[in-house]
Amino acid sequence: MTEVTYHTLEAGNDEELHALKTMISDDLSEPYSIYVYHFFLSQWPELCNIAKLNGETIGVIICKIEPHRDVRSRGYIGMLAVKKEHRGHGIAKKLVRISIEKMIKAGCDEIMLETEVVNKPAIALYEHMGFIRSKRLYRYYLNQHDAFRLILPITSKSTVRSVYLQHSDQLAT
Amino acid sequence: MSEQMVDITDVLRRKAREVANDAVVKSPQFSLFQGTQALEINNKRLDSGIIELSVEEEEFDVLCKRSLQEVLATSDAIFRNVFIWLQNSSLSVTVFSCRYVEELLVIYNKDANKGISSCRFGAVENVSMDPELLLVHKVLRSVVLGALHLVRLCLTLGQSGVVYEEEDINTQTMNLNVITMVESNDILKELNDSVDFLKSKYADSKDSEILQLILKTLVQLINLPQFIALKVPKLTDCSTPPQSPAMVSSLAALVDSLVTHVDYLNSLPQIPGCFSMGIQKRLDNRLPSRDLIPLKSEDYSSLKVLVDDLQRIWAISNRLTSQDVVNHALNFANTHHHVISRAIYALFLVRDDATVFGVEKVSDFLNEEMLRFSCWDSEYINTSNEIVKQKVAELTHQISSVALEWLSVMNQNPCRQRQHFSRLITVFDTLEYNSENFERNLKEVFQVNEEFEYNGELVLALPITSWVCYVKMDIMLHVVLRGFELELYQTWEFHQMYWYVNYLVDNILLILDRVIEYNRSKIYKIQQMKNQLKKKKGDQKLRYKEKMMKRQAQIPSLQLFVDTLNKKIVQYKIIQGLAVLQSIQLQKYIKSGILKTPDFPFVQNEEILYKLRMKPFASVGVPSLPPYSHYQFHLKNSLKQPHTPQDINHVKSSILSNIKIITDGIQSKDVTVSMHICSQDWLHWFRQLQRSCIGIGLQLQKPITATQRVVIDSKGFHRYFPVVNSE
Repeated sequence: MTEVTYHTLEAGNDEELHALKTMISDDLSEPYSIYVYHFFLSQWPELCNIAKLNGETIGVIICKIEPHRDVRSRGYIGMLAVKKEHRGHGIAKKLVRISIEKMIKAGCDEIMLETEVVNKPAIALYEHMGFIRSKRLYRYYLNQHDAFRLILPITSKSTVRSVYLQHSDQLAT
Repeated sequence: MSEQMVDITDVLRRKAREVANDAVVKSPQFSLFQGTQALEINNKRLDSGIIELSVEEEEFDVLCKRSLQEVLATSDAIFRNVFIWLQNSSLSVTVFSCRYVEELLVIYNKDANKGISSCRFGAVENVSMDPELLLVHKVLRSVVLGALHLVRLCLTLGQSGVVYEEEDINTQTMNLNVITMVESNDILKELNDSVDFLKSKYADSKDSEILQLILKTLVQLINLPQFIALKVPKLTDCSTPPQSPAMVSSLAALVDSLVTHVDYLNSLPQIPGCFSMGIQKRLDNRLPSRDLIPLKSEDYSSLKVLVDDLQRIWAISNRLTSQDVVNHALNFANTHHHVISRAIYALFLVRDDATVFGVEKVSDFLNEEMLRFSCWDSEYINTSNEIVKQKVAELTHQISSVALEWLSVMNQNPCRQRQHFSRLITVFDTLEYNSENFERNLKEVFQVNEEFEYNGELVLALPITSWVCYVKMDIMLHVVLRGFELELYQTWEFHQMYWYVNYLVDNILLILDRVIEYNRSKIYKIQQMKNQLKKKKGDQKLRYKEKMMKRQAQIPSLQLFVDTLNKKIVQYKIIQGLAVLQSIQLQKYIKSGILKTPDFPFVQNEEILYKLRMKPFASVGVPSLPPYSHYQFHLKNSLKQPHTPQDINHVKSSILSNIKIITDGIQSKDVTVSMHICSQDWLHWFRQLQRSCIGIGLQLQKPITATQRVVIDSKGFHRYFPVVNSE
């Protein structure tokens, strides 16, 4: 059997971009415009990882890294989708692992994401990686579902309220 | 070409030639993040311009005559759509999706200054000659006007800052003015005229009767702002509670009647094309394309919830004390409400003039709370030093604004409540620090000695700080316990969180005990005045006696406050008992190996997870967050010393007897329990705690095998104490 391969999205590969857009649109309840993809892909291309089988795109994860209130570096998992017929083979898990490893290497203090409260498989996937539910967000999605905000702490900065990190930064300078 | 248009074809072509392949073109002033809010042309899920409409939708005629049944079906659908919208849908897929509503709004928006005269479906001749035309252009028009006025009212509430726009209520109006220039009196007149018309022209018709119910209900709902303005004076022992406002009781009767017709209304056919996605295509739509919400998703039950809520809110007119206000607010926070009631409650509770229920200043409310807790008959209150009085007033003013924030949490959705409480922890912690400095300063600078003997030592009473500290810890407890309600904790976290609950309650009990002793010391001091009196002579004795009698008059109040605090202790002991019982059960699972912290691939150590979970409490001075090693030590010791069945029975019976004390107090309207308002809700609250106690107790009797797994069972149990089953 052919192995699933994982790599970053090839710059300028419209076919891959189209495939991942279709997959995400079929899979996620939120509709995303092309501008959302451009926001992620043009700024953090290395954090868009795709899974392929026999040349077909079967899974994708899209992430970013940004400073959070200027006190910590926060990785963010924006979208994750795997084609229905390829689920249950650890592809999503592998994509998440690849992204987390990259974000840790890039110096993230924490990694965050939101997921629908009713999306039990996604919650289980992230919680097995060590994410914990930090907040519940009321009617967060267009479909009116609540979301959990999940956080994976990487460094101790993640465990301190940002206002106190700001103070300690000010004291240090 | 118009003067306002500029031909950019050449510029575009020139610039396009300069663009490299796969480059994103954007202005430096524009961030790509802003682009994420944009809609995308030709994207089926985002572009409402490509919605396809049926022939009926395209050719729908808003001017033609309609039968009474058609008008009833449409009126019912419009009215129900208001409540569907309020369940966080958008106006474009609910109320505005009705062609009559769209047409009236479009015509009105062309000339809004003309007020009600521009509110029509179009120009029709000889309307008054034909009853079926009148049904449309008079009756249905008045329903549209009433519904839109209600929408406008809800939009105002939604935009008032007391609930969250787009989260609690969707306030996007497709850039349409929702008849803001039309006077409510004009609309009320239209609605009442329609009722009169139906009575005279369709006297014996069931459809007419139901339509009149809808019109009359709209009339009452339009009067809702009057409810918010009602002043609610505090009851005295001898005054009788005011009756429910007429508008609420009328509304309740109308809604009860309307609900009985839902099955019939559901059976009525809708006019094809009357409700359509067309408005998303035709007008300014900033949202992705969305299907209409089925009408049957609302059966007037949310209107019923709204009316019940109003009655619950009005129940505060039975209040005797500030404690009643606090418990009423807590009960409101703990129960489910319509979004409009949540907005109304906030505006009803704290008014624009910063008064509580329009009758007392927030600072007076706060003063009463502090007096009833620890400050009654204290030196700060009795002092004749004007500077001290002034300084105490300044501190109280500072605390008032924070107390106001506490009150403003109560109408929020459950998720926001926890977030606001979490933020308030640091606010109260800072306040406590300031307050303690202030009270210590009073002794050192002004020699106002507020001391009493506690555990054999003379200690500073710190009455204001005690209150602030108590409220802070109570908020912390809310934050922890609401985490269970919102399902924030994974099962492997349960044990540490109940351990922390236990720790917090220990600290709360300590401060309550200290305050009780302080209040008792004040009683004792007054009682001792008799002995001093014996030593006085002549005029001095007379003056002292007068003073003593004045002070003696304080004893019943002080005793009442001691009793009230003792009842608080009983309530906290229920929470603590359940946390202990839950911990015992979880320890069994941990010991048998079916509950453990998983081995996470990316987590440095378990301590970092503990610290992240405890982040809201980490900065608090007192009680400080115990380090993770303390928790581990506790767990290790607990596993070594399992509880005997006798221990467990003791915990269970204490919980149940404490619950009985409180429920008896609720039923007998005991003022020290202070839960006589909305007593049924409170009884339910404590019965759920009772169920949790019994449920966990039963689970504790079951044997566990290493092959089982743990599952959470929340159904029927208290939201803070779900039963952790093994299966």
